[in-house]
Amino acid sequence: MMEFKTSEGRIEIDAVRNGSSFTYEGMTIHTGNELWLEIDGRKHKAVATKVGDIWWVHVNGHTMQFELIEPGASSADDEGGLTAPMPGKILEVHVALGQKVSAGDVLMVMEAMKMEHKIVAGSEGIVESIHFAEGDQVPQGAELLTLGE
Amino acid sequence: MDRLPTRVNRADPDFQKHRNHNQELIETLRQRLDVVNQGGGEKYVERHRSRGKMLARERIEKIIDPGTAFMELSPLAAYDLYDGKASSAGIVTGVGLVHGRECLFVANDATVKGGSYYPMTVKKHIRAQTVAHENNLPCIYLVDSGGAFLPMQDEVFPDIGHFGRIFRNQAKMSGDGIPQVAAVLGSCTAGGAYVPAMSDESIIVKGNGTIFLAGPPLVKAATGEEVTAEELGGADVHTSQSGVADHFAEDEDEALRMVRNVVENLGSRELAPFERIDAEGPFYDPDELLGLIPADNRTPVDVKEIIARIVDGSRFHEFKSRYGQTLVCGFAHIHGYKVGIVANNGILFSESSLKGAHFVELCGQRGIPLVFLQNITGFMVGKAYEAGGIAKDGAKLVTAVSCVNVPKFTVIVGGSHGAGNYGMCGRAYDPRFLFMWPNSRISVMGGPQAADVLTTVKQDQRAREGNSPMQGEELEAFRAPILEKYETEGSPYYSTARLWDDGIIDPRDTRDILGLCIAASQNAKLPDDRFGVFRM
Amino acid sequence: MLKRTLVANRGEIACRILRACREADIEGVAIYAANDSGTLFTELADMAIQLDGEGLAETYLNQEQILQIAIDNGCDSIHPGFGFLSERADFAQAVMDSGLIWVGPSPDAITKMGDKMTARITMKEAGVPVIPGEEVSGGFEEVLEIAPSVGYPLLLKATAGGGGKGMRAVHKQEDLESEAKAAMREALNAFGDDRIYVERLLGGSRHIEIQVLADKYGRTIHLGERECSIQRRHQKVFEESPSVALDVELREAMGEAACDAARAVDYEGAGTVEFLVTPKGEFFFLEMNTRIQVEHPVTEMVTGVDLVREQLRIAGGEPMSCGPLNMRGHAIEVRLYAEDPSNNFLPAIGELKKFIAPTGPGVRLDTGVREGDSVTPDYDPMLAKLIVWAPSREEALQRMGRALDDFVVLGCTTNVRFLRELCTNPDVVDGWTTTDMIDRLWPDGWSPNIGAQIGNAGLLIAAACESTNHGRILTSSGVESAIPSPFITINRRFP
Repeated sequence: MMEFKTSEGRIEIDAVRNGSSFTYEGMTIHTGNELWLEIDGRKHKAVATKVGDIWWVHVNGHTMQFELIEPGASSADDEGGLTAPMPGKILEVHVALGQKVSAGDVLMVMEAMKMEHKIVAGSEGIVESIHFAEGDQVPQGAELLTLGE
Repeated sequence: MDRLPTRVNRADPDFQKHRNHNQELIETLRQRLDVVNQGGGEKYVERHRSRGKMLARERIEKIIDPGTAFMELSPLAAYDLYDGKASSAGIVTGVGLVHGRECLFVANDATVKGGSYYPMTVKKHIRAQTVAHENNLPCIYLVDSGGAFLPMQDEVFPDIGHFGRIFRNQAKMSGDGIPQVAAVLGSCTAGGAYVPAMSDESIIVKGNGTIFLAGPPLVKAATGEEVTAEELGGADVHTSQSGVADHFAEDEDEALRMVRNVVENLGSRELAPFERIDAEGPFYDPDELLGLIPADNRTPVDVKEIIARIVDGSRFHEFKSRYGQTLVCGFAHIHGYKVGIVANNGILFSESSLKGAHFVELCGQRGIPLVFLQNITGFMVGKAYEAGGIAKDGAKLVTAVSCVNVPKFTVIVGGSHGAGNYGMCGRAYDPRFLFMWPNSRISVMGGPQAADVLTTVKQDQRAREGNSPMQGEELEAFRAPILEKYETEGSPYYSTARLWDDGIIDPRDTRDILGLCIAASQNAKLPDDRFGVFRM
Repeated sequence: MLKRTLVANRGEIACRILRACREADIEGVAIYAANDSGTLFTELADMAIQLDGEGLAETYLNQEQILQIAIDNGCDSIHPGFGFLSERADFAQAVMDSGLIWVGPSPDAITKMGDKMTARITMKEAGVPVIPGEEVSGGFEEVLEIAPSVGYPLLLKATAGGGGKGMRAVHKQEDLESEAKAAMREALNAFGDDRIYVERLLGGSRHIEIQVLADKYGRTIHLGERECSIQRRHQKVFEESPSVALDVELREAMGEAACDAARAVDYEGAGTVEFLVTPKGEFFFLEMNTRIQVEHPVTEMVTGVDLVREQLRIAGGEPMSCGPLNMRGHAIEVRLYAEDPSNNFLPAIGELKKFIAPTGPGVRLDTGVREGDSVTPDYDPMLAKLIVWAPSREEALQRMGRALDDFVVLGCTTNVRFLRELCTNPDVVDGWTTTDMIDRLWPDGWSPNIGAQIGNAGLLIAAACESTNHGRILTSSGVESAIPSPFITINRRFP
């Protein structure tokens, strides 16, 4: 059993393995140097590669990303966290530790791709931690600050 | 494998403070490296070049495969010794790739006192040979040296670790099937003449290259014979008449190309069976190490935060995480190589020692190289612990570390004190490579502890003699020189000057350097495990 | 004949030009910034020279440095590509003053077409239709006077302005007075200048451009149109030729107008005249791009003309080689961007861990990247242009759909799926393409339409790959490893 994270949340999968083939929901994937997906007797070539924890999969003209959830991994849960939408630089930090914020408050301003992005509170809360300071470079998905109840 | 969590807060003012402090330490390191990279100084470099010669590091660059790494060892050897004149101890050593094969380089720097051998030069040369011997690396000697530094002949000539050992090592290594290749690019006088003579294959360059047991002045004094250096031991003589050298090179460029040709024909090699997957960078930015490492070794740092910035994907499979927690053990990958990591997270207790011994044996059993991250003030002391047998448990760790068959690599990331140095694979335990971080300290105990111990001894003595105990300024005056001595001698620069390590490194380079070390170590097959008696 | 041409550009267009140079037996010289070192275009050149400095201003926009490199390396000409310095009249002038050939129109033509007002006046004089409109400085009475000749609906905008300030749409005459007064007030407040510009508001129009080519021997021809109406964030993503909106007569009329436009500024080389075409079939001059266009390949595919080769030929003083216009079949180009179409088309970055381009009959890929390259925020996020040709529009859309299905890019988010869905979108299939189309179809933003089955298939593939360590080389044997030694992967000096 394995667990992945997608843009739609966490998904678990329990595929049946038979040698180098795996079956799930009536579909079979044959692994090896090349990947072949079999649906209803039709074969489709698939391509997959792992970047960090994310499996990028291309099949049937669709490109999908599945982030492997590692048990005990720190990045597994970012509820309440506010993450960088893309890699960039923190321009301004508008809040201080312990500060109460309301939904919609601008917490940080970051610059990426020559544009400024505002990191906005999604809900009311108290700033529990601030992970970056002005001028810091942040990777995509990095947790920027944490809001508590 | 699980990814390590992190609690590092980049916005923490301490993070920035540590970062600035460590940046300064690295800046100092860079400056000192820049100085030694200039060899014997402008005047001598100029003279060297005027003879059509390249500098030692330039020669190595010409030989290694283009676009590949070179790992220099102990560039700050002899730092602050010999009036600070012997940059890098007058010899450049390191590991680089030639035709895809890791080779060990020993290159004399003739701009430093004509490439003559100071005591530390000898020690560095022999250390390089040890690296080659342990890791089964072909040796490439780029010879340009006048031989022993005569004013210090008593410290370089006759003893077991002195000049003679170099040639004995060449013979033994050749016997073990480790190729010995020499290129004579300058003078190669007296004892030095044996370097090419003892090599499996040697090259000599026309003009600059000379090999003889005694130079023209000595010959004249001894026999009255008048002869030029070229006639006496030049490239022509040795390649066509004496047979002391094998290949005649028109110029230095050609000589260095010939070295590559020689290595190309060394035959096949067998690598140790290390498990390896393709490499992946750490998930957490190694740059954050600088914000983590405290300015003072007394401040604790969670070693898992350090591991997370060294290992592939920041993934770590911890062993016995709930037991003996002051020693962190576990599996990870570095540049794709599977490694076992043993890292201090506080003082060593009986449990942590037992856990460490267990884990080291595991790695031996499975053929997994070991990486030790040292930050240790020592073993726990006190009545209860002695009674609990901490000495025999510590001994088990020392036994396991001493006898395990897999390659060991040690990085001193903080303090290295007392028997902790031993249990954590200090220099005496034959790690294949040992490096220090600029913030690290190494001494039998910490300065304040040493001052405390010596003060107690002194006060006891005074009491016996009926004198009143030292106080105030007198006490301070007694302690100050002790503190100062430990401050000086505990410095990584003091260590690296004396070849107690293979160099001081930028903490952010740790993962890359370990990757190179493991790649080099893979050239030697693993001997069988033979553990000593574990005291139970 | 040109002998050695410096290509003052990078990426995809530099590759395009350097290949043309190779075919024409001209030596190609590339210039590159340090962060472009080792990329494809530097390898296609006979000589590649690194630019000093960082950032665009110090590198690809550094006129003195580029010119000096050209002179120092014995170049006889400079091809600017598009973007960067391609429409800088001062650079063209400097190149010519140094005795080099500028592959493009004269600085005078660039200047005339580069300034909107000058271009408008020049075009009006040459009889090229321009959008009806006039500047008003005499207050509301004058607006009232002019409005009927411009026609409704009309747009009022501040002459001094920009950014939407003082801009008002007027749909019927009753509203004119209040809107015009408001516009003037706003203009005065915002810019201290109450002059406004009255222009016909052309809603639902198409963006259609005509490719022209002119040589030094008095020949100016057009090569048909390109329809570029599908745009996102004001950048084109989907271009085709011919346009469904044009018939032979309209094409000829627009083509003639485009040639008139080019002749009016003594144009030389390849250029593009952009028009707005109303649903009623009126067309109005918008502007002229005095360079090769990104979307030039669609014209090449339907006309059989190698535009870059013609540019080089014309600049070298030869007559153009094209015969009479002969458009055949249908061509479509899509622009593959490193961007996230489901997140407001924001640029994306990452390593192109997999980059497998489609092939097959009638499929052409113009790109400057290859597998293993990293997409950085330093430059434009366009990764590639995929062009297909087929006998009919319907088949071209099908072919593009198939090609996009085959296009594998992993490691960096792209708009491939978005482009794929365009190919079967009913509006696109029906040819109802307008500049506001993306906003009209996806007012709340686009997101991929992944069926449950494909989603599950992806999940299965990810799980199977994770279980089998797919693509990761595992080795524990004692022989030479398939994974390169760290000595090879780390090219550095330690300590």
